[in-house]
Formats: sequence, C-alpha cells, structure tokens
Amino acid sequence: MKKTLVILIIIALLLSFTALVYYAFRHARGIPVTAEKIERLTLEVPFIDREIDLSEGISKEPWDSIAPKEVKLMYQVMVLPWPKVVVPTVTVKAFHNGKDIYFYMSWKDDTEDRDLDVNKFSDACAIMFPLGKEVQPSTIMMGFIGRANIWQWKASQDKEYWLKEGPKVKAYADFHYPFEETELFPVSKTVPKSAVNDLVAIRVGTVTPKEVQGQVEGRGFWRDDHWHVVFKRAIEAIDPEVDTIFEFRKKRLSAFAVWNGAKGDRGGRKSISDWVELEVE
Amino acid sequence: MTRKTNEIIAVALIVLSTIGTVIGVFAVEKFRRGRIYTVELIARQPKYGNWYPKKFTVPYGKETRILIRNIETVSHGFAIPDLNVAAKEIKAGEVVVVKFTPDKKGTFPFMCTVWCSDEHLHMTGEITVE
Amino acid sequence: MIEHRLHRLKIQITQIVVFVSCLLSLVSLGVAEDRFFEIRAKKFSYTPNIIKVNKGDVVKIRLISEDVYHGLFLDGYGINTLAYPGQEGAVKFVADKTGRFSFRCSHTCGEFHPYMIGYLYVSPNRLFPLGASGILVFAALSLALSFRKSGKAAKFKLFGLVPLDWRFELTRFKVVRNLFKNRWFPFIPIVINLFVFTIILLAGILGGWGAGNYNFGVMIVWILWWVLLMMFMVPVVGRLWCMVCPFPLIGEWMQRGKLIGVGRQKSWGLNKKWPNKWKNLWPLVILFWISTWFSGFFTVRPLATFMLLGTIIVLAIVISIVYEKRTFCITMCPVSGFMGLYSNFSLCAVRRKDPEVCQKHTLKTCFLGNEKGYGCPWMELPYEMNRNTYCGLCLECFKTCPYDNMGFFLRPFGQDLFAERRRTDDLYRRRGLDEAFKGLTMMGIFLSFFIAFQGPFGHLKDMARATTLGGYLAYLAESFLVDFIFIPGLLLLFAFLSKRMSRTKEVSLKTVFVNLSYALVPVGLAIWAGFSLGIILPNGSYLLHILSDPFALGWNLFGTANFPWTPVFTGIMPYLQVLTVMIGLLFALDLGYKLSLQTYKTVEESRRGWIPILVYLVIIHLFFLKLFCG
Repeated sequence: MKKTLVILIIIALLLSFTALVYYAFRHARGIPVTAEKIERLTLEVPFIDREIDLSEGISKEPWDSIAPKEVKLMYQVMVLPWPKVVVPTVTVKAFHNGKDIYFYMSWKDDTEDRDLDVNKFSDACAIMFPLGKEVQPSTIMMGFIGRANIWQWKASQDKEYWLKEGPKVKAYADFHYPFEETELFPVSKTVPKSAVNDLVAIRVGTVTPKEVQGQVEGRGFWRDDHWHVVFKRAIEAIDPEVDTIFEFRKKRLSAFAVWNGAKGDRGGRKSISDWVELEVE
Repeated sequence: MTRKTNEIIAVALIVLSTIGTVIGVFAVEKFRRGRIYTVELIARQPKYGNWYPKKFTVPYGKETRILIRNIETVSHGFAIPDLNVAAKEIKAGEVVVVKFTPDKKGTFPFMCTVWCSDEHLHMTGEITVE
Repeated sequence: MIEHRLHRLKIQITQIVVFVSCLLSLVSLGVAEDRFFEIRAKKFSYTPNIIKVNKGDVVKIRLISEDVYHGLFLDGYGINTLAYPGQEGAVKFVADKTGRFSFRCSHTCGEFHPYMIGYLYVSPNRLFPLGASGILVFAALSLALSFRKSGKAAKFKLFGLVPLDWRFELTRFKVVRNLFKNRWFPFIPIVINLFVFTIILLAGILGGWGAGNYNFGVMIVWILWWVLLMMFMVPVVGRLWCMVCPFPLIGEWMQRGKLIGVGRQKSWGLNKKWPNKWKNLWPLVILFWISTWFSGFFTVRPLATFMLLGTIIVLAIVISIVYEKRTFCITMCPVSGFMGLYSNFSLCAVRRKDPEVCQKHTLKTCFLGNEKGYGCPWMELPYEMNRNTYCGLCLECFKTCPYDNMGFFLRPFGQDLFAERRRTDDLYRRRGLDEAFKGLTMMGIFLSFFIAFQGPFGHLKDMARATTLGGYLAYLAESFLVDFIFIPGLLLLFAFLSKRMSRTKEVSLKTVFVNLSYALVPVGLAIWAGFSLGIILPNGSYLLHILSDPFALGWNLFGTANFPWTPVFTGIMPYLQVLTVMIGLLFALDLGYKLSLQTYKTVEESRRGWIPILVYLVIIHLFFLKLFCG
C-alpha cells in the first residue's frame, strides 16, 4: 500500500520536473519561433558576346536580355552617422564577354544630384568585392580580416570625366569626418581618370584609392526618376593583391551600396546590401 | 501557541516563501507591463529567433515606451532610423526602455545596431504607426 | 650530538636558501623598451594569451576582435579597452608594477565571458621567488622544530600555542542555548533560504541560455554562496550550510508529517536503510566528481544551474521517502563530501559536554528521539560523536537531551584530525581511503578548475564547454587521470618513501597514506579560498546588479541595476592568494607532523617518516604558488 504511494509520488515528481525542464528548454531563448531561413541572393553573370563602349553610352541591349535581380538595401547603422532615408532596393544585372565584365545598377532617385556645393552632395553607388580567402562576416566593415576592393561611381565625378565639366564653385567641397553641415574645404583638384574610384579598404576609415586609377570605367544616366549606372572592367586582374579576381564557374561574394545625395548621403551615410553571390559563367 | 497553530504558521511560511514568491513575481511583472510599457521586445540573434515580436503596431501621436530585453550573451542595439529613435548598446542581460512619440504614420524598419553575430544584418523588424 | 649538528646544518642551509633567493629577486633585467602587442580576441581566449615584458617598458596593445564585442581589462593596472569587428581598441601604459597580471574580457561576449583571460608577466617577478623562499624557510623551520627534545608530547599544541584538545562552550550563554533548543531554530533560517532558492530557481528558468553574469541564480550560487562557503562557513563553523540548507526540508516534512512539532519518529516513507559499507564518503567522492563534469555549463548558463539544483531537490525528496532520515545528505549531496571532510578543521563543533552524564543515561534519546525532538537525523551517535564529518548541525540533539548535555564548542583548528577511532568508523568503513580520496580529488578538481577557468588556455576552455565531443571527453579523461591516478599516486609515492625512511615494521602503507592525507585538509581549504578570491574580486560587482534586477525584467529594486562591472583589488589579488597558500602550508606543516607522530610508533620513526612528506608538501606548495603568481 505505502510502497505504491511512494512510487507514485516519485513518478509524479520526475514527470513534473521533466516537464518543467522541457518547457524551460523550449523557452530558453525567449518565446520559441521557427527560425526563418536566410537566403543569400545569387547574381548570375552570363556570357554575352557583346561589347559596350561607355563613351557612347550604357546601351540598352544586352541589358534588356538579362533578368534583373532586386537587391534589398538597408540603413547603414553600425557606425555613425546614419543615413536619413533609405533607398529600399537596387536592381542589379551583370554579364561578361570573356574580356571585360560589366555590372548594371539601377535605383529610384527623385533628383539627379551631380553637383557638389556647400550642403549639396553627389549621388553615388558602389560595388564591393572582398579580396582574399578570409571573408569577414560584415559587409559594412569594408573588409576586416581580409581586404575589400570597392568600385565607387560618383555622379559628380561622372559629370567631370565624361562631360569635362568642372564644378561651378571655385572651392572643391567634399565631406570629411567629423561631419559638419557646412563644408568648404579647398583641396587641390586632381583630374579624374574615370568616373569610378577604384578603392581598397581593410576596415572602417581605411578607404584608400589605388595608385593606378582608370582600370574600372563607369557611366551613369538619370532618366525617369531612376539612375542607371554601368561599371566595366577587364576580367583579368592586373594586380591580384588589390584587384578583384573573377574566376569562371566559381562563386564569389559582392555587395552593393547606394548614396542619395539629395538626402545628405555621403561617406557612412549610405544604404547597403547584404552579401550577394556572383556566379561567373 | 498551540502545536496546531505552530504547524499552520510553519506551513504558511513555506507556502509563502515558495509559491507565494513565484506568484508575486509574475503578478508584479504583469502589473508593471500593463501600466508602463506599450510593447515588450526580446532581442535575439536571427538564428535564435530574431526580434520578438518581429512586427508590431503603435498608436500615432501618443508616447510609446518600448521595453527591450536582451536575453542573450552578446550585445545588441536598437534603432528606428526613420523615426530618429535609437537606444545605446544593450548589453547581455540588460533591459532598456526607449521612449518616443511617433510623428509620422507608416511602416518603418527597426534594426540592431551592434555587431552581434554573423547574421547581424538580418536582425530587423517592422514597426507600424497608425 | 649528531642531532645537534644536523640541526645546525639545517639552519645553515636555510640561511643560504634565503640569501640566494633574495639575490635572485633583486636582479633586474634589461633596459626599458617600447613593446607593441597585437592581441586578437575571439570567443573565449586571446592570441597571444601570454605576453611578457620587463619593468619600465612602455607597452602598447592593439586589441582586435575576430567575432563579437570583446574587451581587455588589465588587473592591477586597471586599464580597459574595447573592440568589435571593424573597430579596434588600444591601450598604452608603462609597466611599472612587476608580477603576473591577468587581463580579462570586459564586455560580455558569450557564456564563457568571465573566463576569458590572458596573462601578462612583468619581470622581474618578485612575488614568486619571495613565496618560494618562504615555503622553503617554513619547511626548514618545521624540520628543525621536529628535532626538539619534547618529541611525542603528551599534549599536542597547535603551533605550540593552543592545546589541540581545548574547547570553549558557546552554549553556556543562556541566549545561545535557548536559541538552539527552540524548535523554530534553525527552521526560520531554512525558510529564508527556501525563499532565496525559489528566486534562484525562478531566475534560472527565466534566464534560459542568457548571460550567467546577469542572472541571480548563477551569481548567488557560484559567486556568493561558493565563496562564502569556502572562505568563511566551512573553516569557521564547519557544516553551517547544512544547518540552514533548504533542500531536505520538503523530504523531511514528508517523513515526519510535521514541520515544527514532533510527530512520528519513524519515517512515513519506506524507511530503507542505506547499506553500512557505503555509509562513508565514497559515494560523495564519485558524485561530486561527476557534478564537476558539468561545471562548464552550470556556472555560466542560468538554465543549467536550474537543472542542477532542480535535480538535487528532486533527488533529495525521492531519497527521503525511500530511505531513512538524512540519507540523502550523508550519501548524495554533492557538497556534503568536502564539507564533511573539511569541517574536521573548523573552529566549531557540537559535542556532548560531560561523558559521565551520557554513560549513566541508558536511553540515549539523542539517538532515539523523544517528544521534544527527533533522533539524530544524520544517524550519528551524539553521545560519543568526536568528529564533525557526519554532523549536520541540525541541533535536534540539543532538543532531545534531557540533561542539556549537548554543547556547541569553540576549539582550535584541526582538532578532529586527531580524534580516536570509533566502532561506527569501522562499521561504516569510514576514515579510510574514502576520506583520503575526498581530499585528494578536491585538490585535483581545484587544479582542473583553476587552470581551465582562471588560466589563459583557450583550448582548455573549449574542451570544458564541449565545443567538440572529442575535446569534452578528453577533458573528462584528463580530470579522471589527474584526480584519481596522478594526485593520489604522488601522495602514494611519498607515503611509501615515508614508510621506508621511517623504517617502521608495523605501520601499513595504507595507514600512512590515509593518515597523512589529512594534512591536505588545510591545504585544500587554502587553495579553494585562493580560487574563490579569483572569482569574487573580479566579478563581485555583478552581485549589485542582480540584487536589483534578479530576473532581467528591467526591475531596479535597490537602484543598483545599472552598476557597471567593477573589478576590485585585482592588484593585490595575487598577494592575497599567496597568503592563503602560505597559511595552508603552515597548518599542513604543523598538523602534518603531529599526524606523523600519531601514525608511527616511535618519535624517531615519525621524524624520519616526516621528511618525505615534508618534501611532498614543499613540492605541491611550490606548484600552487606557481599557479597563483608565477
């Protein structure tokens, strides 16, 4: 009689403790939620036997024959300052013709901002490629353990290079850290060798233009509230230390960023994407 | 004091210190939550569930107080850039309150601002103001 | 005559040793330089984990984080920096203090954050040679003193000052005696602890896999309670915790049917008897060792602490309704083992006052119980009890004795180590290898814990937290080898040498081994006290946070919820730890020689047999010294 009671009590104790432990395990990280799968976007770079001469424009086809990829952008909020408004998405396409590789970026922008002035900043966009084997997990640190190669196209630089129009203001205003609303910083003007700045960075604050500029070409047009920008570079890397290497049938990572000059975007104030996988055919 | 009274007092003490404590804690917390906070957010890395709740609504024009609990072992951050709202770093185990009055209607993203994990960039949610 | 010469020789050797070590410590090396270190921080170690500089060097450290937010706080210098991927930290300082300093992570980065440590050595390290010479001096002194004429004195005196059989009754004061006789004591302190443990368990469940250092359960149990236990409760009052422990309360209530009043003497449950041959410390040796397998989890994860404590509570209740009385406390509670052994050293004890009274009293109500109280729940015989090992200070014997013949006594440290052997000691196979192994495994566990958790070796930490199954199993295997083979083996070797050198013909090796293992009781207490300092001084400030916000819900009960992490006294921490080691050594030398006198038949045998044990104590203390500051 007593023995059964004791055994029952023991079983009840063990069961309730196990139930409690199970419940606690389920809620050990807060309310249990089915974890969402994080998909990484893949951008295919097909082989198309066409060439684009950027001095004539960015050309409609072959871009029309490639399916666009929408890349979501988000606020850059890891380091101050943050952008005021985010550019939500950028449409991206790419192809290569065995000799050169081309990238196309298009995003919605209400105003065409090509001029630099006090309180006026240029629209821009960029593609970043991590160099080397160790890829750090964050796109927004601009390389960390390894280095990153960044192609940054600036509308103001595009205007200068292609239209050979210098800035209207005598003093060349750009931004520098720490940010000030009024910025007027006369620096010696260099003639740009391209609309695209070819940069290397190893972390925040280390963006450095390469010694040799002009390898990466770029051109952008603003039409119907949208920017359309094309990047072009030879597929072969000249200096593998600082140039991005594109290997056939191998995946490599890339990331995109967009600046909306009208909203005060410059430097860290930008909209950035997560990693996008490039697959060069 | 009779023996029986003694036993009753002893049992009461035990019940009070165990079950009483548990009930007391939950009651206090429920009261606190109901009166003081609009929303309670749990901050977690995306692989462990991300923000909870990931999407929520707050009323337009009224002061909103969001209680953010970091239940993990890494730091997180919080920001709603569109509404100019941000919290400083929320360390592991810490609880912070973010107060603001939303001045525009719509749906805005909020995200973590402190590097917490490999999927940190995916630690975002949506706040709707109406 | 020869003895006198030998004595002179010993003094001369001591003088040379002291002189040479002073000389060594005065030699300073090199000129001040600029040193630069790039330290990479990754969960949960630094690379490089050990850096060495010279006094006066200007040291620059660049801290790079490879995965999440990390920090670097340098003990003793108090400088701090932070780094996360993309943002590095930097410190620059002049290394004007010498010695070994730990640098630890100052920003919660994961569950093993409190154990993320590296070592900085600033030469010349004066503390280690100083401590080492101190050890050698004390050892030489002990040897010299052992050659005194007095030899096997009729009375042992602790450090030659206090007779080891002296005692002072604290219950002669009416207030104390009435308190101990009241049935509400220790019930009220137990209920208070029940309340605290409810909060601990609740915080454990709600804490989940969150940060242990911000969790009430983890902090109170592993930082506050453990430190208080090792540094104060056990050395001073012995099994004080057992007196106020809430774990057996529910089980005992079920056995007795009453909480306060005195009801049935026989348990309502099955009242089985635990087999006599296991009524010793062996089950506890094994169980405590098994519980240390999981220390990498329950000391840092709230839910793991909950599971450990919950399991112990369930076990306590189950054992209480199956077996008689406090079988759980004696045979299964993980803490009971070392508390039992170490309380032989403590300052307090419950004993009978007048043996004549007990002899005349045939009914022995202290063991059988009466209407005033229960028979000894710990199944001891209070009328003849002469050691603290199995007395849980439940104070029932105070209530049941009709002649008020039980007393609570203050006495010198180590009194019980020389207690007479009793019938129950043989019946239950106590005071044998079980107690020897308890003391030895405690030393081994200290070694594993200290090197893994307070040391700079990242791969050991990875093994302890089971990042890979293979690593974890290797950690358990290493723990077994050290605790059960290597450390006992070392004592066995020196016990063997002691027996040989003594040239005894009657004393067995086992007797030598067991008796001399008791000299390790003060050593164990000392090294665990040192270990506790390493826990409480850097991390004690978290206690202020969890007192205000026990459940991480955003409360602020006492206004200290936002108290920042503040390490205290980290500069003198190595000195304090060395001090504890020295205190332990002094007791070991004094009590150890007396144990030797008690083991061997003649004084000459004891003296000769003491020398290998002396060497053994010197070796292990030099090793502990190295662990703490070298």
